[in-house]
Amino acid sequence: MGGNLSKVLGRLFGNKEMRLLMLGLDAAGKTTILYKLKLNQSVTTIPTVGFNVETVTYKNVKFNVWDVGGQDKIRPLWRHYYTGTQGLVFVVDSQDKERIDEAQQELHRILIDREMKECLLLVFANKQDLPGAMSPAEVTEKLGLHRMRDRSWYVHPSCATTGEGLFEGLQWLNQNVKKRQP
Amino acid sequence: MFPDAISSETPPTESPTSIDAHRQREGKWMALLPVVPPSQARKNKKVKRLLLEGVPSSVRYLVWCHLTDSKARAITGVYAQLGRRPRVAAFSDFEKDAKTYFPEQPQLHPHDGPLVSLLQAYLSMVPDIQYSSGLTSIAGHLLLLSPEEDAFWIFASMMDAYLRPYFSANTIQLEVDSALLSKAIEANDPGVFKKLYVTLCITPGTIAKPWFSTLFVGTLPVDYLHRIWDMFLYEGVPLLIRVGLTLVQCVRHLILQATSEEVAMEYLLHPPLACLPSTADTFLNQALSMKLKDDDVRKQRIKMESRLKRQTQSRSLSTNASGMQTASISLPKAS
Repeated sequence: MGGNLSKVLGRLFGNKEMRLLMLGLDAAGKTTILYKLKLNQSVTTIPTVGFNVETVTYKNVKFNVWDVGGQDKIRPLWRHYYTGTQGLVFVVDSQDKERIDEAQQELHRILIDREMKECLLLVFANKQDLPGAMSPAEVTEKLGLHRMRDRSWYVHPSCATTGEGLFEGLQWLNQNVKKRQP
Repeated sequence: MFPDAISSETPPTESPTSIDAHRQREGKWMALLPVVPPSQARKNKKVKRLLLEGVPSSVRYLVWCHLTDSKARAITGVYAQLGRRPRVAAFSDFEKDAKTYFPEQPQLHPHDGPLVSLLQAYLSMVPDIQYSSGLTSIAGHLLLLSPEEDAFWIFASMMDAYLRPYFSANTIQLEVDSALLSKAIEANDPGVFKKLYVTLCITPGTIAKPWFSTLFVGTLPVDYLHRIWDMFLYEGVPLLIRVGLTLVQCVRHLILQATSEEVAMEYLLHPPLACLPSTADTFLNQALSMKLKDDDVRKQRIKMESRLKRQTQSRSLSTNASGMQTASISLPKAS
């Protein structure tokens, strides 16, 4: 089958695929990040009901990025997207200090699921362009990441509208995803 | 063989190959859905092949939107408008049943939550429906997979395409489907047929109604339910009959020993888990391998329905409007 052949070739020549799940509170900037990565454009988004999924190729790696709506009513649906996730991209609105605790609770709820046991955690401290935005160090602290054992995590500042920081995040994921056992 | 090293890492919950297969299936569905128009999805062989392979829960509601062509029915703003109508009579039942049937899903409990709102909207749109708790169960299971408004339109489409006749005052559709089920049981397993319908004198509708009008909610575990609905939304009523046949086969030894209708019905409606095949997929495969000619079922269904309608009409003409329409009908003989 063509698909299998290209996979084998991909393995030989180092093409990789990685399934990413992008979550976070509503209005954190997930969909803007997705389409900035995909189209290199800053698109105007509406609140996501359901999900968007796009494939983004960066440095020979195909990232399948699932962006699932973050409104509290639909957060119970997040768990349907856990299976097969290699990297969780958790997006935080760095200016939204009021809801950082809520973000922290949601993050921990996601990570205790056994389907998410193995995945990497990339946090985008997004909206760095806005005045009063929390620094990556502050976001790290508020999310309680230092207390996390047995988990590779990385916090990177980003600005979805300009794209700053996004590919650096993917780069980290790519370097840290476990090589598949033969 | 040289032994593997032992590490403190616990093994992953699923094998890498099954997770790989899961990711590939997601990819296949997301590639297929945009190119098959929803109105054609139920005739598409690729859709059927993928359905048999499996439906990841991430994309399941989209697949169901497609199979029911629910987006064609959806009108922007209507769901919100329906929500503003006065409360229907059964409103307090929704609230109570939401808690009873989904005790571990608190998000479905509130009176302004998605489940109660969906039912309120549907019943105010279609007031001729006689409420029963099966509706709460079906809608609740949709809402656990799907955003609220999508769930509403899938629900409305499923009701229109399949379920509404079971909730109407005229029982023709139920009589037809009950008869088709009992004929199928007779053809597959005459011993059980005799026990159920002759020895225990259970009427065909007693068995068919609770199964078909709820799409087996409460009878089958949730993951089985999802797989059954995947295929049902493609195949229609013949699949319900296949599932019925499978359930009968699973509990046949218990039925043959049953001494009363109540006992037999309990096994049919709440089969012990140990009697069911161990996974949802093996259950589905067993249902698909049952001896049944789906096309014959579809044809007979249409024929029987029009014959019953004619009989009912002539009966209501000959009786002098004194409400004698509940007279029993003669069922066609098994071929």
